[in-house]
Amino acid sequence: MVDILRAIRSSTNGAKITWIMRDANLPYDRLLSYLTELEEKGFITKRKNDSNLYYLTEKGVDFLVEFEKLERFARAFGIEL
Amino acid sequence: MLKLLYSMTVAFDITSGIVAALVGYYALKAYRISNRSCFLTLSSGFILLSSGFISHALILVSTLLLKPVRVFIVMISTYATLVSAVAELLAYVLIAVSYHKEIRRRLLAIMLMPISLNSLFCTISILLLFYIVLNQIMVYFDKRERSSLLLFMAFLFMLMGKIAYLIAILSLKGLLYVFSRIIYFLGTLSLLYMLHMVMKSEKAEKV
Repeated sequence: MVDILRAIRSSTNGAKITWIMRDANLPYDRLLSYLTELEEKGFITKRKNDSNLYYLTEKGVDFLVEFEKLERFARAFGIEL
Repeated sequence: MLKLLYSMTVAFDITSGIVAALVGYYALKAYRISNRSCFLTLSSGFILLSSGFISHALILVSTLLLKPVRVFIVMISTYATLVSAVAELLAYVLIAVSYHKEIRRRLLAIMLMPISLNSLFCTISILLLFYIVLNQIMVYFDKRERSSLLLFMAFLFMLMGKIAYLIAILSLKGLLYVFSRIIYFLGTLSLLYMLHMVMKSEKAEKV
């Protein structure tokens, strides 16, 4: 899921499903279920005028920043999150 | 002189307690995100380490405030040190277990004959810290990141502080005791700087 959020973040003007598939290295059906879950949790959103593109919400950005802090913290101990 | 020594110990203990609690808190957050048991063990270890420091400091503060007879001060501080030493020992066991869970290496069992209970706990702490330091240096050589180096330095200072402390209690040298506390405190500061660095930097810096 974090890979999906990272893939969306890397595209500044919104991310297409095909880009996310490539960056997160996930098959289409699994990616769709994850995207639905992330949308329900309020981490990502689609804009009304362009429903093909995904954007990170503020909650998604905050989560990713917090996750990356904890990732660095864990790596300092030699543990992968 | 005794009051100054107690005040210094209280200040170091409270600071160390807060820093250890912070590390425990972040390990708990990592556990909540990843659901990996090694983080829970690590968190429990640091929280226990923190509670040992804080309880030691609180006992010393109450002793200073109540101003009992000198013999009671010595007795209370000895028991307080013993309680915090047990908490510290259990904490290092938990931290070592979390390393063990992750890295899967065996600790060599070394039988020692300590002179007193306090020195026994101190000796076990040194062995566990030695194990932790060895694991952490391997982590550093693997990752080559400044945060890992700082964590290695933190545990190394703690180890050196513990060794100096053991020598101090065996040789009854007050100055060495102060020296051991200062070295240990440097470890706490390294831990604090590591936390500051990982929480501030956008990307982990390579050394």
